[in-house]
Formats: sequence, C-alpha cells, structure tokens
Amino acid sequence: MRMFLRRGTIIAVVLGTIISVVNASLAAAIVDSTANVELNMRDGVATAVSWDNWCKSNLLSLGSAPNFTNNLRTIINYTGTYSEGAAYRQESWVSSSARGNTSTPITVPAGTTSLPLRINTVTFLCRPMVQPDLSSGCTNRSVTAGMIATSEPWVSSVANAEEAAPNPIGSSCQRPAKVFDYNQLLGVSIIYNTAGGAGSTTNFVGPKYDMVEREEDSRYWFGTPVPFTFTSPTALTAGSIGFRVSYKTIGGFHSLNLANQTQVCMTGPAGVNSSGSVLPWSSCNIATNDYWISVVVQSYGLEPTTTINTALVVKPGASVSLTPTVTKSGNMTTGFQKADNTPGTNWQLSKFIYPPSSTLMPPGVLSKNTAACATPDYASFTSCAVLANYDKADGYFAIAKAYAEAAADVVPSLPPGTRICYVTSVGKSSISSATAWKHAPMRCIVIAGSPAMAIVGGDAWAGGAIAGTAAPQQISGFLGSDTFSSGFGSFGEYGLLATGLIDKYASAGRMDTIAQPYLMFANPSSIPLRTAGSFTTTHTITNHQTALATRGLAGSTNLASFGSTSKDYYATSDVTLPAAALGTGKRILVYAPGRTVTISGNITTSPAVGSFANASLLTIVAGTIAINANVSQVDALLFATNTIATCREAGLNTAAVNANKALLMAGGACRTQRLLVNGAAVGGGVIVTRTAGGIDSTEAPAEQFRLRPEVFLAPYESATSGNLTTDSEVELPPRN
Amino acid sequence: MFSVAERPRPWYRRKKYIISLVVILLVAGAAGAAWYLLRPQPTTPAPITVITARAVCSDELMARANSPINDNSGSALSLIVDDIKKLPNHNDDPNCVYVLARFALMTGDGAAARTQLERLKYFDVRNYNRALQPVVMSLEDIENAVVVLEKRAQSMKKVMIDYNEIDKAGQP
Repeated sequence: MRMFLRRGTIIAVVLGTIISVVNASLAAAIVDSTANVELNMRDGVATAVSWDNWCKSNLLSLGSAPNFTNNLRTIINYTGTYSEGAAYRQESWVSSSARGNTSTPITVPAGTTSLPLRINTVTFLCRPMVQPDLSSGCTNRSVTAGMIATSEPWVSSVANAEEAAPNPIGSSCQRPAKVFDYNQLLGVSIIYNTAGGAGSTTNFVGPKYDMVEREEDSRYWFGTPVPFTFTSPTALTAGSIGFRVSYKTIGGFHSLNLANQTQVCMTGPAGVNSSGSVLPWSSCNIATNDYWISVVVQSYGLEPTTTINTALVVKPGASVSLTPTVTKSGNMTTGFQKADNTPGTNWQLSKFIYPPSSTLMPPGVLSKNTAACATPDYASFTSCAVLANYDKADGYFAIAKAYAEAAADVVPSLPPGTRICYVTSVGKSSISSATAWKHAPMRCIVIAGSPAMAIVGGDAWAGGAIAGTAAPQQISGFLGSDTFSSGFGSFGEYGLLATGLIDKYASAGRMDTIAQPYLMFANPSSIPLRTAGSFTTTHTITNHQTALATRGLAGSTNLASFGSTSKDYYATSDVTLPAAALGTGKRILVYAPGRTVTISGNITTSPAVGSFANASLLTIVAGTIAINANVSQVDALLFATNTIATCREAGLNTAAVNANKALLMAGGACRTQRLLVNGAAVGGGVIVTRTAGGIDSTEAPAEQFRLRPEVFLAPYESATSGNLTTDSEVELPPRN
Repeated sequence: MFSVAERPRPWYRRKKYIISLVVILLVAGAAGAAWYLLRPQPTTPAPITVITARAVCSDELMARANSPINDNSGSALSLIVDDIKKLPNHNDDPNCVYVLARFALMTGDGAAARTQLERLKYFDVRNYNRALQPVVMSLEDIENAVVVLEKRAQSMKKVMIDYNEIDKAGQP
C-alpha cells in the first residue's frame, strides 16, 4: 500500500490513545494517478467528480462574488446541515478486500460463504485547497469565488482525477488547516442481510485504528484500509448487506508539529479540542455510520428440460417430436466446461427403453458425474443410446435465454406397455457443481394398443336403464381409445344416442365427427358440441326378460340338445353354450334370468336363407353373458340385465379387467382373437375388452356388433313366435 | 312575566351575532376553498409499456464496453458511454441500456441506475450481446446494486465541524 511506501513520516500510537507527529518531512513524490483513484475511491474518479462539483456549487451559491477580504474563507469553510462548504470531503465505506472501488457489486463464485472486506477512508481536498493558490498565500485577498470556480484543477471528468498538491498548511484563504483525521473503529455490526444466511457474522474486533493524513503531493488522502471478514453459515446469494460501524475521529489542524497543532473531536462533542497536546479518545463521542454492499453470485444456471410434443400413448411406427431445451438462468455467459474439463458444454438427448413389466418411476432432476446412459438411477432399462448431441463448443449461453433444439424419433415395434423415455442432459450446469452432468426429469411415452369397436347396421344407445329393473338410471356414453394419427378407431355406422359423453367415437360411418358430430345425439350438458340429444335419465329400454318370461319359464331345463333344433331353454343355474352351427330356420331361446351364460365356442347361423322367415334366430336372455376369448363369432340376440363381456377371461367388471391387464397385452388371451356379433345386444353394462388389432394401425376393429337385416325382419316373418320384437324404429337421414 | 317592552331581543336580531355568523361562514368557506385548491392531487402512474428491442449498439461497441465493465473502470467506460449516447434510439437497445446501467452503478449514480434498470425491465426481449462476458448482471443483481446505492445515499453522514472556529484557533 502506498502508505507503507512513504518515507519520513512516523506516526507513533501509544495504546491507541496518544497521537504524536514527530516528523513532518515531506512524503516521497508518489502521486495518485487516475488509475489509482479509480481503483481505490468508493466509486472511482466519479466520486471525486461528484465531490468537487459539490464544492464548486457551494462556493458559488453561498455568496455573491465574495473575496478573501470579506467572507470567502468562511464560505469555503461553511459546514451546515445540507452543505459542507468547499474545503474537504471525508468519507469511509466498506468494499471488497481487493480494492476500495465498490461501485460494482462484489462478485463471488457460487458456494462462497466468506467475504473478505475492508473499511476504507479518504479525505479529499476540493479545488480551493490545492495548487495553484490564486491568493498566493493570502497576499492577494481580492481573489473571488468566481475566479476560483473558473480556475483549474477541478475534477470534472471521470477520465481525469486531476491530481494536485495541497496548498501549504494554513488557516486562511486557500490554505488547508487540516493535517490528519485519525479514526478509532470500535465495532462493526450487521444491520441488513439478504445475501448471507441467518447467523452471519463478522470477525471485526475493535478498537482498530486508521490514520488519514496530509500528503504533500496529493489531494487524495487515503487511510490504511481496515480489513474484516463477513461469514455466512450458508452459501452467499445475490443480495445486499448493511454494516453499522461505530467510531471516533480526531482531526488534526494547523501543523504537523504537535506543539503547534490543534486537535478536535470530529465526532463531537462540539468544541472539544486541544492545542499543543494530545486529545484523548475518551473526550470524543462515538458516532456510527452505515455502509452497504451488494453481492453478485456467479452462476452458470443451466437447466435442462425435455418436452414431448406428440402423444404420450403411441403405437409402433408413430413419430415422436421432442424439444430438448437448456435454459440459462444464471448470470455467467462463458466459462463452462465439459465433463472432461475442456472448454465448452456437453448437451445431449438420451433415449431409454423399458420393458412392459418394469416398475419405472421416472426420476426428477439428477446431478451426476456420469452421462445419462451410465447413470445407475435409470436402472432396469433394456437399452439406452444418445439420440442427439448438441454439444456447444464455444460454451456460450446468453443469460435468460432458452436454447431449444428439435429432435425426432420413431416408435419401435415393441410390445404394448413398453416405455420409451427421454432425458436431456447438460454438462457442468453450476459453477460450484461437483458433478459433471445435470439430467432433466425423465419424460416417457408408452406403447399401447388402441383397440377399436364397431357397431354396424344400426344405431347404438347408451344410458338410461332396462325397464322394470332395480338398476339405477345410468348416464352413459361412448368412449373410444386414442387413435391419434393412426386413422382408425371405434365407430358406429349410423347414429349414436347417449345420455353421457361421446368421446373418441365416430358416428355415421365417418372418422371426422370430432368437428362435425354427424348422427350423434347426446345430451348437450355432456358434450356441447354433440348437441341434439336431450334425453332424460329416466329413459328405459324394453325389458326382454319380462317380455319373454312366458316362453322362457316354460322351456326345457335340459340344454343338451342346444343348437340341434328349434327350442326354448330355461336355465336355473349358470350354463355354458358350446359351439353350434344353427343353420337355417331355427328359433332358439336360452332363458337364464339372473344367471351367467358363458359362450365357449362360435355360434353361427347360415346367412344363406330364402326368406327372412327361414333365418335362424338365437335369443339369449341372462343376467350376464360372457364370451370366451377364443370365440370369434356369435350370431344371436344378446340381452343381459347385468353385463355382456366380450372376453370372459379378462373379467366382468372394470376392476377385474384392470387386474387382468396382462391378458390384453401381447400374448394375452384377449389380444389374439377378434369377435363378430351378428345381432342386437342389450346389456346393463357392456365390457368390450378385446385388443386384437389395436397395435397395428390398419387392422379391423377388435369387436364388431352388426345388426343384420334378419335380426329385425325375421320377427315380422314369425310375429307369432314370441321372439324379440323391434323396440322402436326411426328413419335416419342418409349418410353424408 | 315580561311585558312586550321588557322582553329581550331574540339572538338573531342582535347585530353583533349576525356579523359574527357571517364572518364565521366566510372563514369556513375560505378555508374550504383553500383546502379544495391545495388538496393533494392524485397522480396518474406512468403506464407500463413494453419496449420493442432493436439493435443499435454494435458488436464492436459492446466488445469495447466489456473490458472496462470487468475492470470496474468508470473512466474507461465513460468514453464508450459517450459514444452510446450519440447513437439515435440507443435507449431501445437493451445492450446499450445495460452498459448505461453498469456505468451508472460504476459512478455511484443511483438515480440514473434506477432509470436504466426500469427501462431494462420492459424490453420485450433482452438478448444481450455475446461480447458481454463472462458475467451479465441479472435484473435482480442490478436491482440489488441500485438499492444499495439508494440506501447509501440515505445513510451518508456529513462531518459537522465549524472550520471557522478551528481557523481561529490556528491564527496568531
């Protein structure tokens, strides 16, 4: 420090209470350059510009063209509440330990907990106190304020500190009386802290002393900085810290020689001074001053994310659009390092494949030393590869910017339930990170079947209840599987009528009914778009269990001859109907109220009939009708007060089906065989669980319910036979 | 009982009461009028508008600015600031404004720093020039620094010493 380079001035401090300047020879000619002032003043040269400008303003405003004959020295000396005249400016402040200039916030690496600081002091001499002395040592007392104001050197530009030597010591005209300010620093307390954690401390232990003394070759009298350290129990964050310093200051005037010196308590009380003797600290008041610093924490702040822009439930062959993104949230734009510590930034998108049986819980953000595919946290995947690499060789990231890339993938031909997961990773995301990689939360898609069901040859109704049953009125609708871009799905050839939601289910034989709900008649409250339905929940459909009771109850209880002849059967327990080829002309009723009728084989009729009267007609009335997985065709009218299930093995209700999902997956019983039902079906619930064809986008629906003409025309031909009758008929408009 | 001639005059017939009443009304009216005229006027806050960023400060200018910013040299940065201020529409480029903000901080000009900070907040995009490195202060960083300047200005104390008295002590 410059203070230690000076020769000839010895300041003796005895027990911190006595000041005696015993040698006042001139200091070596070390002049404060603009660069040095820039480095050590609070705001660099700008501070001096501000102060000298202040002095000039005071000089000109406090008197009208005075000169030293009258009151100009008084004006220069003026000290009031809002003004300090035009002689000196003294200030102390806190800065980083590296330099006194604290105008720029103190920047620290992330993770820093200790902040080396220092208390700086300076006395600045305004233009009237430095050479050239226009008054020539008061021999020219006609010098006016205006003359001084228009003479140099005023510090008026930050480009020039306007270094100048003080005028000789004196107590009149342009001669500075001050020779030193001696500070006793008693304590430092933290009064404001948004940068450090609770419990932050300083290591300052007072009293400490700081001498600011006259320099014969400079108007900038810097004191010796007093160091201390601010320590936070946690890593510093961006914020500010306020310190309150308690201190006393003794000013020395008139002479470097103690015998001719006046010492004054600059911190009060007023009037306490000594002439020719040392003024004890105890005679001075304690003053306080508050100092403020702001802290900037260097941070890379790279946050990787992965966005899947396309469907999350997909079929093999589907396209996947991804956006791997790295968002820059920190304030460092450069300085990044790759995992191998070379300049630049690693950034990549990895692809994982997990088998259907995996119980993967996609993890969140991971900071690891390994690339994604080598990170154990992603265990149980069957394969992993880098899908795309976006390494940034320049390692430059503009702040507050999201760097997004476009990535694409194609879903491989893998079984339903297979998950394909993507992870965006960025290298060294934090300046303090001990790990080389930061991995974004895993984002996954799942391969799934989208089985379809079709209702052809007639309308379909959902909702309401079976007349006369105790079952509650249902608000039901039609819900199909997501088909996305595969271009096929569930549909009704003609109309759909529902008290509830119709979703992902086409009507009128069209696939574009999302925008134009052709022949959809649903309650407006359930789907506003598919208007025209205004059905009440009390709607019922004919109870054929009641309608056919007379015939059924009179039927044979021996089903051994089932399929061989026209006959009515009455089942008093659960029954299984085997495969049967009914041929033509048969009328068969299986009446099993409250019982489960299981169909274990194909039951077919012959379509080659001469007239509708010759068409065979099988009617099954039961509590539940369950069709085994191996059955591919059932030509019958199905009426079940409880449930019709198209794949018995999967279960007869939603809970059971969910528990048996494996049967719907690849290799499962319900996935291998399609089902065609030629005939009307009425059920308290319909569980259609076959998934055949659900993976391949061009295959036919897994289940078809086809209302062939003979189903509703045959009863006309044999109206006296007591078979099912048409419940109602409505003429439909032609399809578009 | 009073006779008619003895009955006291009603208060409202007494001249001095009437005059007093008139004076009171006039004073009250004047006071009310004064209050109305001198009452604090509601101020309409300046509307917050989005500033459409445009490129004004060149790459070369920003490259020149980066060094003194990192060196904390207001004197060196002042030369670049002079050049920036000569550019038309320099307030529409967040890069220009950022340099002005840093210069204001560097020179301890809290008011100017606050002005530039407020301007920075309302740019539709703040794509800082890549010449600015390795650190670009975030809005939060600048806000903290501005607040410190404002707190410092509030807490600054001046030495209250009567130098004329001291002069007297030094004069023979």
